[in-house]
Amino acid sequence: MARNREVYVPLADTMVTLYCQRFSRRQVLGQGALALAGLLLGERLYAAAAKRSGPQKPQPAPEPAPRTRQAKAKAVIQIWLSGGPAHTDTFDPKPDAGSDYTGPLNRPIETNVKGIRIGELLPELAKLADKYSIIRSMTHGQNGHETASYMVQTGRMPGGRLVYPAVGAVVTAFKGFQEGSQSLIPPYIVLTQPQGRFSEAGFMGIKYKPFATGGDPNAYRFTVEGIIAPDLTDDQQRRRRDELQRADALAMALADDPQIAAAKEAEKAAYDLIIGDAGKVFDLSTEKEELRTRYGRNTFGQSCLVARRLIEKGVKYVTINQFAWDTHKEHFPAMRRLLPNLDKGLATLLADLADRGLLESTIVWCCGEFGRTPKVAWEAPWNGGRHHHGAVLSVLVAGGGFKGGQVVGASDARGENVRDRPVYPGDLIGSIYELLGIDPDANLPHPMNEVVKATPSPEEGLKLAGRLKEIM
Amino acid sequence: MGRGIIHEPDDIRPDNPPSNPELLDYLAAELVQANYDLKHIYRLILKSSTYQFSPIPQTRDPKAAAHFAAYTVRRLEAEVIIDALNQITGTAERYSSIIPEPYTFIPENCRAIALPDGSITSSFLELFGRPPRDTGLESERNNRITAAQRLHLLNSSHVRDKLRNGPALRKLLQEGNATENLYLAILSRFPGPGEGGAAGERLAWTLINTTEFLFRH
Repeated sequence: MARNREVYVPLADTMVTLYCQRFSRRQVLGQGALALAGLLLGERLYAAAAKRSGPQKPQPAPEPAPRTRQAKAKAVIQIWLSGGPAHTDTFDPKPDAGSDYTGPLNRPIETNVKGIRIGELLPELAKLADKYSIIRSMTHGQNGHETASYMVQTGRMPGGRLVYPAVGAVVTAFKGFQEGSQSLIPPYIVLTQPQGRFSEAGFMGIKYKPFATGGDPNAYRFTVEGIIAPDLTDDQQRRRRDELQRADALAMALADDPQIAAAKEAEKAAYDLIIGDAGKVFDLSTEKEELRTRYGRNTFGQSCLVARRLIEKGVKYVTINQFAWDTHKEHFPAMRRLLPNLDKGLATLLADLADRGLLESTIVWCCGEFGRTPKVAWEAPWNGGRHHHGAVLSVLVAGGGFKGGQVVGASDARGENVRDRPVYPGDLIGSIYELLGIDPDANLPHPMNEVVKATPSPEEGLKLAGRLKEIM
Repeated sequence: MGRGIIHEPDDIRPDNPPSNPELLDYLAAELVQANYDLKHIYRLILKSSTYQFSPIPQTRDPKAAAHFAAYTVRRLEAEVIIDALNQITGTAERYSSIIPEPYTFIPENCRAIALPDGSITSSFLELFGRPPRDTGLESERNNRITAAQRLHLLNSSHVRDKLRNGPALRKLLQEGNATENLYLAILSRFPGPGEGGAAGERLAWTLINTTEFLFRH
């Protein structure tokens, strides 16, 4: 568990920077999509079994000491635009930079907050800029997908001895497991595929991995891996369960054995998800058709809707991964395809959370691992592409104590570098933890009891510019 | 046996004495006498009536487990479960190692128990608690059963596809007495009176989800 099995390989970055063979990589890794690790409902069953079976060996990983501050936020939705969306075409438009920079997207639109303009393909988000703030000056300077993804989602530098956990794993370590989440639904969920080469749980190990749903929430039936079988009705599942009970003679004979009892309890919990009410959280058919349409009838839009439902049910951290933003080639047609879905899904999510009074206690953050080069690569083979740009990226943050209607920092005239108020990934992550009431001195659960702070700090040698007090 | 004469087996120190020192001495003497032939010891143990005891406890004496009064049930290890599923269904896993680049792809006929490196893994192996091989301690392996594991075996597309499309399983269903074939392949025994039922993918599903299949017993 302690071993850094997903150690970052510097060589990889230079290769990826030139040719993003991301799909083949993902396909290789995507095999892992299965009902990956995370699902931790078993833990509490195990605890129950341990109680029955008497003293166990001391557990190696003690939970971090609880000393939480007044929390404004209870849960987080992270929208991860994997590949890196162009900041200048989304939340940091530069219409005066000339067509070599803007391409055809040179008419940013006014939002409902005076003075804030965003990309022209985001009209729905423009209507509710008072609900979110835009950080236009995040920077880390890394142009490789792996390094940049790691930095933006852990706040740390890769390459050290420790592989740090992502925000989602940290948040659930404190807010899900430590606070004794009693929900059957795991506290950390990924819609729909995990990030592959990125280890969400880092050194904390498999207990803290997210549960990746697999399936497609926009399909007629959202087949969540392990929970919903596409071709079995609840009745058929019940009949199968009864058949299994009858065939399982050994379990009856050994009913007193603590291991067998734990296995049977785990099975019961599994069936509560398969045919019980807990699994219904993934059933979108109970939502109004009109609302589903507003979210957008596509995988991303419906994932946003599922995210809201999960948060309502007490899930602490939901990550929506969208793997589409690495637009080296023919960037602008891709933007015309991708941004309307992002616009509808994200805007409806924010509005819907606000309508239900959930936005106050739910942080939403949306970004990718870096921005994209403001200067368009018109030449072949890119034909109007944008490449990796780690010097600046924009981040949208909302809810859970983050103010709306604000812009933090600024990039320069062409969006190439940070002009004002640099924000480093650790600043945003520290701010998120603060809003969630995670003690800045708290330690992460480490399998060998090593002392590792949850919150990125300058003592680790990290470049930080301070919490986002201006919007908290 | 699922338990050491010294318990835990890698916790050897003066204040953790063996439960049965005579037995330990006897086995040690046998090992020396057989010129350190471990297979001799395996043979001794496997042929003993102690090893062949039923797992159903005959007594509630707290010392029973330390003295092997009944067979200790324990869940199959991650690698063993997936290898068994693959063998029964005639399917294979694709293992690869992404560190370091370039990627290494493991041949399809490689069993999980034969994977040479802890970093070559799959979500199945991780889910079922295969050790990362960091410390070499026996306790590194996590064989506790979780609801996520049950979900996976009961209801995942991974296992469903194996049962539905596995060529070896299809052959079992088509040849001779299919019900018997399934019991023999999955539980290594014939169906008892009142057991069985229509052979098919569903019976295979039932059998691989029984305690009998998932636990050494």
